[in-house]
Amino acid sequence: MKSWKNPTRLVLLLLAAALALPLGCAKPQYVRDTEKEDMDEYTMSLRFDRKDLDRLYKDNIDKLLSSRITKMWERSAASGNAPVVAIFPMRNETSEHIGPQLDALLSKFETDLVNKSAADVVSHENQPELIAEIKRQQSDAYDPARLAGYGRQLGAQYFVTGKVYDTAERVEDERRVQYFMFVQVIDVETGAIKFQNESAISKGLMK
Amino acid sequence: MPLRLLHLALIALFALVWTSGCATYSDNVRDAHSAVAQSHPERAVKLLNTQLQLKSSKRLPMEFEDDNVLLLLERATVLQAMGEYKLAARDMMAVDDHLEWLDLSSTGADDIAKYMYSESSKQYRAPAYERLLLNTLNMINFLAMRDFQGAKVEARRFTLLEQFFLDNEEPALLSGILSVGNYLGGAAFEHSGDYQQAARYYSRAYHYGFRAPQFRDRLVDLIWLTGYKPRELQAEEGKEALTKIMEAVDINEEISFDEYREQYLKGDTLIIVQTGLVPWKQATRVPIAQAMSYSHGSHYHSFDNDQETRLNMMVANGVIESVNFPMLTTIGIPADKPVVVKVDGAERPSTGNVDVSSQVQTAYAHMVPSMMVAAITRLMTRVVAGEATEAVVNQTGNGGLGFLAKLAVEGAMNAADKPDTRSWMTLPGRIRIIRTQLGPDVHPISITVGNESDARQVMIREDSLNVVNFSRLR
Repeated sequence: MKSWKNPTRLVLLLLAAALALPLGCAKPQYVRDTEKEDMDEYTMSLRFDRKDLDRLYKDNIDKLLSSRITKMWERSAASGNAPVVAIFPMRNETSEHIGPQLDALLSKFETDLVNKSAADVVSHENQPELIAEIKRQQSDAYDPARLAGYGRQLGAQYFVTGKVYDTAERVEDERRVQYFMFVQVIDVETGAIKFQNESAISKGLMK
Repeated sequence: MPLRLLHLALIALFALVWTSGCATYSDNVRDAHSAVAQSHPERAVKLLNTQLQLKSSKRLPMEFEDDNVLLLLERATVLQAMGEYKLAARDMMAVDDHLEWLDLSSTGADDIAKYMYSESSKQYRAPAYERLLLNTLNMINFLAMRDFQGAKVEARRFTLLEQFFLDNEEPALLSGILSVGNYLGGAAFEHSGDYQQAARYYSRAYHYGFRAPQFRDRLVDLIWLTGYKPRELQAEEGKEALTKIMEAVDINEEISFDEYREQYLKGDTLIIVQTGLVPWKQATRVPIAQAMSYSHGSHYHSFDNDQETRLNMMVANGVIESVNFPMLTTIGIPADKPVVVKVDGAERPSTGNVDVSSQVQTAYAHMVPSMMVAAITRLMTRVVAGEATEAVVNQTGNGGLGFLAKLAVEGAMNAADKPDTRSWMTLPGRIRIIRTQLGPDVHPISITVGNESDARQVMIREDSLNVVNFSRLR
């Protein structure tokens, strides 16, 4: 190669290469959505973001509000016996820390149940100690006998709850998490599942 | 370009490459490491925040590049020692999202060399034991906060990585780490009422070395209750697993879930004591004969015949004399001290005792042959490049400049060939677990490590797992 036969070029090349080494990249900076309108479009992690929550929410709430159990609540309310419904923490059975996102999703359901269903909704935020207890008990909390006990404490006849599972895989530096979400309405007294819907979302880290 | 200018340019290049020899990671973290060794976590956190260019531990770095991921992991470990479990868990979760590992089985020698030398190892790649211990230590954070949901997530993450590494590594290399990770995972699931999963985790903990008699009884009762079958372990081992445990299950006395909870879960208390520090990496000039002997026995990498011949020629001609290599050292690490744990004034024996330092040394020794093949291959390439540069420049009639250019190229490569000394330096050298059942009251719990003591008044809840972590005294 011509450049290697010319020592001047060789030295200049070496110098250029050495000088280029410490040059850094642009520093990241904080922005708000009004400054960068497409910021919610990026996938930042394998956990749920607002887009995922919106998708899961829409998929489930439409089906819940048009389900048989919601129609039954309407009939009960029309006869003067509006059922009392409480939001019960969702079980996170995944390998991702999505507890706060699941709480956010349930809060969205709570809002729609208050505004769009005939049921009387017990705010779960009024029962922080009970909710903390339920979260601590986890699997035990879903035992029918315990469910009935919690229902009595809250004065609720139905719980809106659910669980999320995942299949997580890694191949070298690539990762994929497939989430399976089940949203349920449970009859507190009997433990019977009165409504169930399944949704799925996949997220990945691809090279 | 006039000759004088050419000389000046070369001198400038020399100056540049020799002054670009930055401090290594272990140089930068030495003071914080020393503060942890002297049981001064508050000082260590300040030093680490300075390295991270952060004013407070409440903040995360904006970038997860270069050394920041590892520095954050060091900070999390020190925050845990200070009892700042929420911040420690947050830091470890952030690290977990960014910490990749070095899989020797599927990585070529060229790429291993890239990760080994600072020139191109932008993102730190952790060995298997560090990845597994990240989830193990984060389980401690969540359990200490009684956040069993979080602890279960960490346990599942541990399992994912465990399966990944068991496909690639010798389980014996990591047995202690696998036992403690599975044991803590078992505790998280057991206190969430998920007894089937608890049986699975506890079975693995027992299999990998957690063998305290009271733990054996607990496991037998739990397997009897749940009907758990260790098929997964049998598939991994290719033979019957837990045979003695399963024989004991067959003749076990009947026990109900309520009796199990009464017998094992009432006032259940885990005392975790993390002492010492693991060996850390130091840039070391390894004589070539020693380096060549280290390069034998790799499961994944070796020299081909041409490389072997070229290497022998270079060594015979004195062209290669040593290899700059990251070797483990125990300099500055506190000696393994006697530890006494007292509850209500009475000494309590360990339920489990994992020598993390030995695990690290064994696992690293397993990695050295592959890494040394990569390092020597890279060194040979560097020598060839230097020789080629000298020949090319001399062909142009600039006698003397060829030698200078050769030195410049080799110098530049030498500067770049600073071994990557990054490792999780604040990891404890030993993890002890003491498990006991206590009444619903305040109990004095104290530890003595060598001639230093740490004492707490712990409020025990009867209906929950109580986790007390001591990792301040090293």
